Amino acid sequence: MDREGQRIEYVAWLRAAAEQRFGAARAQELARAIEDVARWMTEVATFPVASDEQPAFYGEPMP
Amino acid sequence: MSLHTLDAVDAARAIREKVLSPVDLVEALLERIERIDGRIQAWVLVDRDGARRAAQQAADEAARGVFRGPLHGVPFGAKDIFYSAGLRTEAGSKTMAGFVPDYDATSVARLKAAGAILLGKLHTTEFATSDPAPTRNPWNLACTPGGSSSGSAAAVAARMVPLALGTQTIGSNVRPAAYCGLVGLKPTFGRISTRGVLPLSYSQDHVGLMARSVEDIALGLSVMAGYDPEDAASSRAPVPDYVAALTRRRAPRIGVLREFFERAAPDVADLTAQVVERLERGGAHVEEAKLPPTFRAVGAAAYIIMRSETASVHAERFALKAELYRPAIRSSIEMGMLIPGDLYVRSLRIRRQFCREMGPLLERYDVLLTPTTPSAAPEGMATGDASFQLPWSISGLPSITVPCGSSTSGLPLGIQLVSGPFAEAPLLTAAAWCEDALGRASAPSL
Repeated sequence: MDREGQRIEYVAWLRAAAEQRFGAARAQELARAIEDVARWMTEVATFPVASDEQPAFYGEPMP
Repeated sequence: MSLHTLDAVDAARAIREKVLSPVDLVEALLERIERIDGRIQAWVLVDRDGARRAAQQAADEAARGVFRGPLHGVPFGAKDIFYSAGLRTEAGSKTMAGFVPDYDATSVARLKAAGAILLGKLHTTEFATSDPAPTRNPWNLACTPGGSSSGSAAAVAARMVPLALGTQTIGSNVRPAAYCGLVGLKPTFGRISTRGVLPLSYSQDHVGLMARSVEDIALGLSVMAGYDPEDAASSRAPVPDYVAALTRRRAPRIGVLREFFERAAPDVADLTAQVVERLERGGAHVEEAKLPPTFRAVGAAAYIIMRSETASVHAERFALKAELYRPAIRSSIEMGMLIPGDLYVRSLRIRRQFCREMGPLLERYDVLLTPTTPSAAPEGMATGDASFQLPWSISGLPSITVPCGSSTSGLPLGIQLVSGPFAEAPLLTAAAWCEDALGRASAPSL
C-alpha cells in the first residue's frame, strides 16, 4: 500500500475507534486531531527502521 | 543598580560578601511583582509570607557566617507543575484545583538545600501542553511568551525573579526562553530528576532552567543535577563542575545545521547567518553539518510517543474528570488512547536509530547550531512552533538557547546549541563563549 493509501486507512480506522470509544459526536469534534495522528502514524509505519533496531525507552541506556 | 535586576550569581556573591541582605532582595522582587505582574500575569501564586520567612532565616544565617550553599538567599520561581510542599500545585488545570503536595519536587528541594528561596509558582499551559496560560510576553504584551513554561520565561525576562524552573517535553523550556530574550537550558534526559514534577510524557519529560546568563544556568544546574533514586529515569552519570567549566572558554567547533535555516522566517535565517559569521570571525571553527536520514521521522515519532504516554499518565484522572480538561489536552489524551501499541514501540525504535545516527555528528563538533525558533514570538495566545526543539527532546540530547539579537519586529531571537549526551559542561562553555561574542540581551521596557 502506498503512503496516501495507508494514511486514508488510518483516518478511517481512527474515526471508527473514536466513535466506538467516545461516541459519534465526539469523534466528529476530533476530526482535525484524527488527521494529525493519522499523518504521524503513516510516517512512523512507513519509515524504514533497521530490523535489529531495539526500542529506546529513554534517551540513554539505563544504568 | 536596582536589586530586581541582579542576576543569580551576582546576588549570591553580594549576599556572601554581606553587602546585600536576602530580605532586601526578596522585598525588591515582591515589589516588582506587585508593580508589573498585573500586566504580565507570570505568577499563579506568590508565596509572600513563605519567601519573607525564608529570606529572614537566610539573612540570620548569613550574619552568623552560615551559608547553606551557592544560592544562599537567591530567589527562584517554579512552573506550576513542580510539587512544592504546602503550596498549591494546579498545573493550570481545573482537574487539579486545590491540590497541595506534601513534598517538594527533587529539583525544588535541591535548590532550597543550596540556599535558594522559592518565591512562588509560575503559570503553565494546562498540564504543560498547549491550552494557553494567561501570561504575556514582557517584550510585547500582544505576543505569547511561548509555552508551556510561559510564566517562567516571562517572570525572568521581566526581572521579577533571576532564575526559574521550567520543563520541556517537546519544546517548552528552550522556546519560551528564546521568545523572551533569555538563556534556557534543557539538559540531557535523566540529568535532573523529574520526581515531583507532574508528568506529561515519561520518556521525554525534562526539567529545564531559565536565567539571564549562562553562568546563572551553570550554577543552577550544578545544584540540581545528579542521581535521584526516586526517579526511575534518573542517570548515574557523574556530575562535573559546570561553573568551573566556564573558566575554560575557548572558541568552539560548530556544526551549522542549515536545514533549520531553510525552515525559518527570512529575518530569523538572515540574523542567524550573520551571527554565525560573527562567531567565525571571533575564532570559532564553523562547518556545515548534515542531519542523518532518520531526522525526517522524529517529529512523527515524538508526537506518537507523547500522545501515547500522555494517555497513560492521565487515564485514571480522565476517567473521572474528562469534562474539566481544556480542549487541546483533552484531545491529546483521547487520541493517545487510540494509537496502536506497535506504532508506539516503532516510534521508540525510530528514537534509538536517530540517537545512534547522531553519534558521529556530535563527536565531530563541540556543538551543533540552529536558530532557536522558526520565528519570533507570535502574536495572540497560541504558544508558538516547537519544531526546532523537538529532535533534542525525543533524543534526550542537551540543548541551550542564547540570545543573539532581534527580529524585524523588535522581539528577541536566539541561537540554539546542541551537544552530545551528558556533555553539558562543553555545551555551557560554548554557550558562554557565544554569549561573550554576541553580548548579553537587554531588558524589556516595562
